[in-house]
Amino acid sequence: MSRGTSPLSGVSASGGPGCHGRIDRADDPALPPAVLVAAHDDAPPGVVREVCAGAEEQGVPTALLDPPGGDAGTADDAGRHAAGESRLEVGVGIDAAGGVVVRHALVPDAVLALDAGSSATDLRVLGGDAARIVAGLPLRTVPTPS
Amino acid sequence: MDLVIGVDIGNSTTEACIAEVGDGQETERSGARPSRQVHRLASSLTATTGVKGTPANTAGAATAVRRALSAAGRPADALATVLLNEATPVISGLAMETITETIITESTMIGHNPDTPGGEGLGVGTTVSLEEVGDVEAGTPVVVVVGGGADFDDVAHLLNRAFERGVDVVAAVMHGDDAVLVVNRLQRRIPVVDEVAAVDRVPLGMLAAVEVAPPGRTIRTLSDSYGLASTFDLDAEQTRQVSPVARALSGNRSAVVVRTPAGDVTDRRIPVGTLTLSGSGRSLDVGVDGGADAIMEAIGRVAPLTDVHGEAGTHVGGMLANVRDTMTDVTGQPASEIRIRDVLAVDTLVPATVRGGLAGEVSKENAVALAAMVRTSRSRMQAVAEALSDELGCETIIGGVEGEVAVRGALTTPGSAVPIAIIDMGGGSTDAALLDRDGAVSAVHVAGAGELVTKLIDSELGLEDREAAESVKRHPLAKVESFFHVRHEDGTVQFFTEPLPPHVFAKVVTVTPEGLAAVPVRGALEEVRRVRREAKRRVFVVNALRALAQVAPQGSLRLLGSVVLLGGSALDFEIPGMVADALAPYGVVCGIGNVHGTEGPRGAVAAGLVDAHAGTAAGPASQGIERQAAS
Repeated sequence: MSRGTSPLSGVSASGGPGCHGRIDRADDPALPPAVLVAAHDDAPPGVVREVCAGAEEQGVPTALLDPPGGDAGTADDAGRHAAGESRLEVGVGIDAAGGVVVRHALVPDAVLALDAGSSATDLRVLGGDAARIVAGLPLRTVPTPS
Repeated sequence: MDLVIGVDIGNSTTEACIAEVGDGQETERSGARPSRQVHRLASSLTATTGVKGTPANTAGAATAVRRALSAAGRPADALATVLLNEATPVISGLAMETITETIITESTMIGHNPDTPGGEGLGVGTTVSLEEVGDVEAGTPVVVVVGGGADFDDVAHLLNRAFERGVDVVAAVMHGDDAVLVVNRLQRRIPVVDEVAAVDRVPLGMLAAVEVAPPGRTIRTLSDSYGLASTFDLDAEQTRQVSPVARALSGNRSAVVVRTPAGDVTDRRIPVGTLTLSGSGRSLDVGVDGGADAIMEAIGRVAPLTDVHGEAGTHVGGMLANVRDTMTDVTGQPASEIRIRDVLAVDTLVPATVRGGLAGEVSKENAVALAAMVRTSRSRMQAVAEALSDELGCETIIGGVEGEVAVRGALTTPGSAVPIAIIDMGGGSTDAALLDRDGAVSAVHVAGAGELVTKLIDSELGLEDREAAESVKRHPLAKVESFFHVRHEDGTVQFFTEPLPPHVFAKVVTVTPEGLAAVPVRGALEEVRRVRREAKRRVFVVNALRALAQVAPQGSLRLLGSVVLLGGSALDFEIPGMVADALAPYGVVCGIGNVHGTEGPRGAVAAGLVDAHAGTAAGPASQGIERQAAS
C-alpha cells in the first residue's frame, strides 16, 4: 500500500488534497468511498489533475486506480473497471492520449465522454460531473448525442 | 340517411363531429318538434388557421372535415352537409411590464450565491489584487481579488507565501470556480467567494467584507443591517442607507460587501405608464405600476367596461394598439371603432439580472401581466362557408350562436340538467354561458386563458422558452433521483429498467407521453409546481368566477345550478379540480363536460351543431342511440 500522506507528495500531487492518491485495491475498508480515476500510465498529467480538481471542487473525494489490462485498454474499459470497483459506483477512465470517459457501474453505456485534447475547463467540468452523479446533482457537461 | 358534419372553429382549435342523420321520424322523446335519429361516427381536431371568424379558417376547417371523414371511413363525396358555428373574431393580446428594478451602484456588493464557495466565516479587510499581495505590509488585513485565468495551485501558493510573511489575508474573491480547491490548499481556512464574472470591476483599496456560511446555512452578518453597521462601523444614517444591501443578500450562503463612497443598492419603481379605462359613462386613469389589484379594482369601478387605452410607448400601450390593429386587419373595421371589452391583470414576479451586478446576480422583480380582449359582431363566417362549399363540394350551413350551441352540447353530458352554465376554457379567452329555465341563453367572454398561463410560467421561472413553459403547464412534474428512478410530484417513486439519459439526471422533469423532458430551471420541483399552480389559479379560477358572476342570475353564483367545464383546458390534469374547489363553497355542481357521454369536454359545439340540425331535443343521449367513440 503506497498511499500519499502529504497532499503534495508523490502521485497524489496530480490529484491534490481531495484525492486519496493511488490505491491498490478499491475494497480497502480503511479508505473512504471515492470516485475512482483509472488513468493510463502515459495519460497527460494535466488531464488527470483537472478531472480530480473538478471532483474536489464539488467536495467528493477521488482515488487513482491502475487501469485493467495494462497499456492496451481504452478510456471506456478503464472507466468501466473504475466504476465497477468504486464503492460510489462512479468511475473515470483516462487513456494515453487524454480521452476521458465517465461511467456509472449500473449504466450499460458511458454517461459522459470527452475526446483527447479537450480544454482544461471542459475537463474540470467533466470531473465535477462525475462527483455530481454521486451527489445527485444535475450534470453540467452538454452530453454528446449518441 | 344524410352524412352531416358539425365544425366548431375556436380560437386555437377547430373541432369536427361527423354523424349520420336518419331521415325517419323516430322521435326518441315526445317533443313538439320531430327529431331525426343521430348516429355519430367520429370526431376530429386540428389547429385553427388564422383568426377565428375570418376566411383564413377555411384551410383548418377543411382539414378537420377530411380527418373526420377518414376516421369514419367515409369517402368525401358522401358528405351531404357541413354545419358551421357563427364564430365571431376574438383577439386577445398579452403584455408584461416589469415595475421594479434593483440596481447596484459602484460595485457595492456581490450576491450571486455560487454553488461551491470555499471555507467559512467572515473576513473584513482592504481589497487588493493577487498581483499586489506580495507588496502588502505584514499585519494588514486584506481581501484578495483574484482575476480570470489564475490557476488554483498558483493562487494557493501566493496566498500561503503572504501568510508566511505575516500578511493577514482574511478572505478572497475569485473569477473561476475554484474556491474549494484554493481553500483546500491554504494553511489557514478563509472564506472565499468564487464565480464572480466581473471580478475586475471589484474596486481595489476599499474596505470589504466576505462572508461564507457553513453548508446548509445562510449568512448572518452581511444580511443584517446592524451586522453591516458593526462590520463597517456605520452611524444610524449610514445604516439606513445600507439596509437595502442587507435585504438583497438575505437567504444567501455567501456574499461580498464593499464599502464604496457612494455605493448603494436601490429598489426602484419604474414608471410604466397608465391605462385609461372607460365605462359607465366615465373614464378612469390607473397607473400600471400600481399592480394588478389596483387595475382590477379600477375596472370594477367602471364596469361594464366599454374601452381601454394604454399610454403610447409602453408595452401595455403597444399591446392594446396591436390588438386593435389585428382586429382592423381581420374585419376591416377602422381602429377607432374597435373597443377593448375586457382586461385581466395579474401580479407576477420575474427573475431579472441586477443592473450593476458583478456576478450576474438575479433578483425577483415585480411585474404586471395583462391580457386584453376585443370582440366584434362583424363576423365573416359567410365567406368561410362559401369557400368551404367550393372546396368540399357540398352544402354548408351556418347555424347556431356559439354560446347556445355549446350549452346544447354540454347538456348531453350525463347527469346535467337545466339551468346549466358552461365555462369554456380556451387559449385566448375564457367564455361562460348560462341557459336558464326559460330557455334564455346569456354569454360572456373574458380575457385571459391558456396562453396567459403559459406566459406566466415562462416568465416566473425565467425559462425564456415557450415550449418548455407549455410542457410545464400541461404535464405533471417529477425529479430524476438516480439513473433508474424518478420521484413524481405527489411523492410516488417509479423505477425504470432502462437507464435514464444523462441530460435528465437529477433534473426536474415534466412527465410527457413521449417521455421525460428536462425543465431548464435551477430551482426545486416544489418551486416549479407552485409557480404552475399559481399561474393556473390566477387565470382560470379568477376568470371562471369573474365570468360566471357576469352570467349568473343577479350576479350570484349560488343561483347557478350546475357548471360544466368545456374546452381544451378542461382536459388539464388539475385545472378542473381547482375550478371545482373554488365553486364548491357556492353549492354548485361542477364537473368536466362529457359530450354525449363519450366525447369528453371537447367538441360540445360541433356535436351541438349536428344535434340542432337533426332537431333532437337537448339532453343526454338515450340508450337507444348507438354510439361510436372517436378513433
